[in-house]
Amino acid sequence: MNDLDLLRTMRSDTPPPSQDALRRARSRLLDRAASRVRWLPPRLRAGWQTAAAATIVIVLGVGAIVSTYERAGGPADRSAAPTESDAVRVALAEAAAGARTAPAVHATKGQFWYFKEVYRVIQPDVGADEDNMTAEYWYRVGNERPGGLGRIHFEYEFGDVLDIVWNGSQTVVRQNGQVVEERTLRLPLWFRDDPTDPSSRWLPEALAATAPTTAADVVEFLRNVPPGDNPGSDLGGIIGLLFHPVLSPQQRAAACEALGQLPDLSLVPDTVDIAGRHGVGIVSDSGFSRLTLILDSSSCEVLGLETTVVKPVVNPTSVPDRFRGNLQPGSGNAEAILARGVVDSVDERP
Amino acid sequence: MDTVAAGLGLSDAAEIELSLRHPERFAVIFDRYAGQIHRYAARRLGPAAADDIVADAFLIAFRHRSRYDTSQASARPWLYGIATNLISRHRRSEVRMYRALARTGLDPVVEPDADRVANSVSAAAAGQQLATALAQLSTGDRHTLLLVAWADLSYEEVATALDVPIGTVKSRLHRARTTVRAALGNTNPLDPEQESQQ
Repeated sequence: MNDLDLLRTMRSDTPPPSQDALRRARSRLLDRAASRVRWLPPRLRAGWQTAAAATIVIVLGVGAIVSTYERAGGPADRSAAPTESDAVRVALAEAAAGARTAPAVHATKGQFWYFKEVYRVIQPDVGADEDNMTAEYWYRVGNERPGGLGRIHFEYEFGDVLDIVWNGSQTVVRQNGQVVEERTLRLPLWFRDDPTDPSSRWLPEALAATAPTTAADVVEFLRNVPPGDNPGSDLGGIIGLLFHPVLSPQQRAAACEALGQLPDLSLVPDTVDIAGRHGVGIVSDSGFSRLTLILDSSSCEVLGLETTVVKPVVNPTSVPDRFRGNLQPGSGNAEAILARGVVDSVDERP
Repeated sequence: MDTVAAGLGLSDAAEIELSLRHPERFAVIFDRYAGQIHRYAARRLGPAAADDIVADAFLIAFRHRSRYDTSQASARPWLYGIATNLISRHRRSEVRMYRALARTGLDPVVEPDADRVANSVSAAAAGQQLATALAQLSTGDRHTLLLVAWADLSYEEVATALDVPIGTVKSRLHRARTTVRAALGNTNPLDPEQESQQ
């Protein structure tokens, strides 16, 4: 009996599967087959591989990522090399000045924060039909948890359209215009974990509304956020603030300036997001991956966020198992916020 | 048996292709492989985790079926590959389980059985040594070894399942078996002759 045979003796003791468990699994599969609905946004898979890896890198302090793409989906022109951190401060101070003069956004309970974004996987491995999509979100204003959804509307590049409206406890799911589900459905937790959902970076609304109006206080404010909502890193926290719609012009300006005071960031003065818009690229490079936050140079509004892996994972303890092996150099994802605003109902767009 | 459909006599590839137009046909693939994948996952992580692995693996396979390489008549390596990816997420639990077995000689996966216990003094010793070795292996080496030993996949099938070249499978397997043999002291604890010589 050799070593493989010995291993097989271990296998022979394994209890047989429970028929109940198999029946349940089969039933879930048939339910899915019958519904033909893409319950799980494809971005969850691709997104986690890069965007979440970026988040994790930020959280772990290993660094953060930022990649730039000088054209839609293409690699950055390396001749536009990042300059020193002084340049970051100057660029963000100018953007902050613009932010201060922007009109304040007012929203009240019962209204919705509206976001529209385009999303793209770079070096796809999730299937060509799921790599690019346009996503619209209607978040309930004043929700206790960040990003309570009233509606999502996904348009996939291959033509499918998925639309889900949550109205109280009732959920209506439409695919390509046809109602395919109408029932009581709890909001799946995975929506809250989707790193490309803009609200995945938010603090709870009431908390974000108390963000400081001076740059010097922003980092301390973020570090004092209670566990559970704490962003885990200064960079991640500031990015979350800049994505948050509830901030006043003064708060946004403070967050913008505070970003410029973080160490180890670089600037690509003219960066183009995947929607073709020019902005300033704020780059954080961990050596393992790179993240580029693209901001409107005159208002500090977030235009887009891109992540890319620059090196295979070399320190296996720094990245959770689930991401290991999935992070190949050059892979990544990019998103661009196309529109945002406040609307009165989920049937409305700004 | 693997690729012969119950009733229609279709290969896995044909069934998967058919399921693109008739999604419910994917249940045929489930019926063919769910049991064996459950046993494989249960051996690695215990029955409770195996329930989830099987359910998730087939949902993932269903969603990705349009990308199945229909030149591969058997879906077995593909499904084991998906299951293995899911098992990877439980790496720490798996290693903890092996360490527990190595320490105590009690296999957390196996229900107590008086007859087996009575006859398993040597087997328990081997199990402890094997568990020690399995806990020491890298994730990739462990996947490779156990897909061969517990899932009975061929080298080619393991290569397909893990999406690595066959040369990598061979080198991983060699490395893993060397570790296992070393843990066994290069002897076979179940061989009475070898035991008495020690």
